[in-house]
Amino acid sequence: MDLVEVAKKLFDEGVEVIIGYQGNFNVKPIFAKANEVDKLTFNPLCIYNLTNYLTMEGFVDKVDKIGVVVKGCDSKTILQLLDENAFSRDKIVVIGIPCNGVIDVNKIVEEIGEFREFKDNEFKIKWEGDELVVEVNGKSYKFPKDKILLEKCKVCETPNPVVYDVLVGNLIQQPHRKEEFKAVKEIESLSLEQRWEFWIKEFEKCIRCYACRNVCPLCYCESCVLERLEPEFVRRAVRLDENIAYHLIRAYHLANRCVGCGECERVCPVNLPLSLLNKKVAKEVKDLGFSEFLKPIEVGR
Amino acid sequence: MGKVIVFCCDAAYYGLNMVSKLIELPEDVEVVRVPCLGRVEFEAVVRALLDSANVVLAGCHENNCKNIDGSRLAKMRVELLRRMLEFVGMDADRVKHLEISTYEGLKLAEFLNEFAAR
Repeated sequence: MDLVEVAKKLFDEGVEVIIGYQGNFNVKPIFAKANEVDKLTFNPLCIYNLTNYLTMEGFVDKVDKIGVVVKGCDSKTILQLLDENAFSRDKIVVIGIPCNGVIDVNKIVEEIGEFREFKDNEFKIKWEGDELVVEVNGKSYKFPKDKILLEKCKVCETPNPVVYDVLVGNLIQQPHRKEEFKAVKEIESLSLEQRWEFWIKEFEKCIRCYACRNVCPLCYCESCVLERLEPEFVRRAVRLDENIAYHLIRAYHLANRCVGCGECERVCPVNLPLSLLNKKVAKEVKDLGFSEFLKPIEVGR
Repeated sequence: MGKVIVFCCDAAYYGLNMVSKLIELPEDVEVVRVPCLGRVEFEAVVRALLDSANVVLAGCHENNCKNIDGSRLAKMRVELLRRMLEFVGMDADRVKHLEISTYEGLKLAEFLNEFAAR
């Protein structure tokens, strides 16, 4: 069954709204009601982690039943949110999509040309084996997989959703991969001074737009410590020292929670390597053996 | 010599109090008393570091915390912070975690003297 058919069936079963993707080239999130069901699509440009919307203030309470489209990596967010009792399981219907990886759109735009030159519905994109086939204006382009894939997809552990109610398409057979923290180890191998030089260069760029925090599906506290004025742990000043504190605290708050969806890195306007910090914390928490200790207490689920 | 901020849990604070007549603390040392070390937030330690102070967290031994998890939490936070500081190229030794019972006040005071003189 394809996505639209599944969605139609779900609407019949009483789902009020489905959070999904729309568009072919200009992929945007959509909160589809029953009359907009045809707009739902899924293609290799659907990068966004839609589970972020589930933790919008009061959203889950207002709607009876919400459908949400998730890829493999996004589905881990749902597990984590359920662990933290962010919402109750019977409120949401998880539409899982096995995903061959999403791509960096900038890399294909270079070759295809400016996106304004074609209409959205003339654009087609799909995986064919290890190649990405793009059809625009009657022309077709082919790209090798390892060239255009996002970094996070190259080391993806879960192409298949780990939690779902309905599955769209077939499960992907892939040899089991294990996170090796390659990028983190690369930084660790540098000397202390080199590391400091690397990081001040990055942190100095930070403009403190808070986009990394806002886009994070797991940063949903109503009162955020980074905004608190009394006591003011991090000042608003955009300075190197405050920036370091901001990023350390942000990474620490995701200790053992970050699922590695890479959204923070994607939205960063100055391209800070934020997932590097997140992965470092994940690695250390694993290494120190605190992951069991940090696990939320299960409350009769 | 830099400023040193010491977060002491109740037990360690009493210990430090008991030896206050025996051994004097350096002027740069500021003792902050907290009910339990588990309550010392990561952010507070980072803030102290930003204000160019060195930080010591002194609390009960791991299995001796009256709040069960306080010491472990503090240990976890400090250890994680130290590793993160190292990762971004800062001096991890600016943060220390000490396990101090009420009867080990002398040990803490001696350590603080040494630490402040560093």
